[in-house]
Amino acid sequence: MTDSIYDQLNAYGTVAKQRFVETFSGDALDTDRWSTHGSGTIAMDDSIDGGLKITSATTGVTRIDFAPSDALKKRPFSGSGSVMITVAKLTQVLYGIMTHTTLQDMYYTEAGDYASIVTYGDLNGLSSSQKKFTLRSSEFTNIDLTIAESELYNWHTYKLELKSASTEASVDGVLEGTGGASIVANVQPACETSASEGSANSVGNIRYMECYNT
Amino acid sequence: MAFPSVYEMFVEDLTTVRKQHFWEYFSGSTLNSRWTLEQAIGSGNTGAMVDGVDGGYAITPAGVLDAGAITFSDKRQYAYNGSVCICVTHKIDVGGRYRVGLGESDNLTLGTIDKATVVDGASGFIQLETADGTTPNNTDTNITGNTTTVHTHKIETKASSVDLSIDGVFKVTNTTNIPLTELQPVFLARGGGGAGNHKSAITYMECYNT
Repeated sequence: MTDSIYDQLNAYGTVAKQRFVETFSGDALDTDRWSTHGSGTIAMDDSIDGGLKITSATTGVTRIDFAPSDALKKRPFSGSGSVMITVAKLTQVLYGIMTHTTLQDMYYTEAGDYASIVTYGDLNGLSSSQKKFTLRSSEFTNIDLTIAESELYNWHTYKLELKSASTEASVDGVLEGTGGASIVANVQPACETSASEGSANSVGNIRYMECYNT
Repeated sequence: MAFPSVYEMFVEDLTTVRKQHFWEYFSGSTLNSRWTLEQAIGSGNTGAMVDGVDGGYAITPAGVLDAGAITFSDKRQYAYNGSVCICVTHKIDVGGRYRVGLGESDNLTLGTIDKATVVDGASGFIQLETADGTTPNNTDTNITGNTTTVHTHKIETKASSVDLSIDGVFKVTNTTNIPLTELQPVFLARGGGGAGNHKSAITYMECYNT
């Protein structure tokens, strides 16, 4: 039995690296920590296990991250040695995209380096091949994960790991995809929903996030 | 052996999708913005971080009958039939009263809301207090109330009961008039006796769905 959280997470004699945990519980998002972007809505969900609900506009991206502006973005995690764990759910079935597990270097309006686990919902009722979980990265071609389509709108535990020469995506404790090169830049966590068809809002919930350098 | 992540400290591994869970240390210059101080009864109730060892966050009621409470502004993410609330609380001034645990709304003194709470009143024993929206049910423990002793309370809502442990020892259970709706964490301090502005404090709270 140990008295400290430090000792639970760090072997004796090691110096802890950057880590944070967000439980998305409370009356509102902690805006001391998080910046918000986009014209959708971001609010704590008034439901059991609801966490934070992110609702995009019918077009565009609504995001939380560590970047109040391009000049002030804070990127404390390593693009080649970090882990991000989330518990999230794509809530809106039609037209929904939730990029719930993202480590990226750029500001909201910029292009840049990133690695993400994304859930694509039923986009305009088109082919089922569009409804899927995908590992995306600026460094390699998208990799579709092998999770059943029936799992798209359920809560899952996602783990994204950036290593020195690879990127790994796990869902509910199972490694589902491995990509190539890591990101050179330092990165920040982000979570977003997005829609592009102008037909409906994209809605997703997230109730846990943890990031740490390895 | 160290855990790789906080996530894996609480669940066996990543194959388990964890439920809503938060903890609050009440440390810092001001109360974390996840909380809202509500005027549960009356007005002029105040709250502040305490400048003292193990001080936590204290609420000062404005008067004898007044009560302030910190809540999640009715964001109710915790289950009435499967959740745990652990908190460390104490009275700074004997004579005041506090209630703490999971409630439907800020005013935990009402018997007409849903709640699963601990009551340390102005006399007698610390109680488990539950209510089902119409009727309260108060059950005495064997712990003398109305002292400045710091206690760890653990309230567990189950499908057909609510259990209370204090300082690691099971005390009582209620099986009737237990909550029937979603709940939020609440800490309420009320005045009582004398000048009426007796303070109570909280130094830790953790809630999770089971």
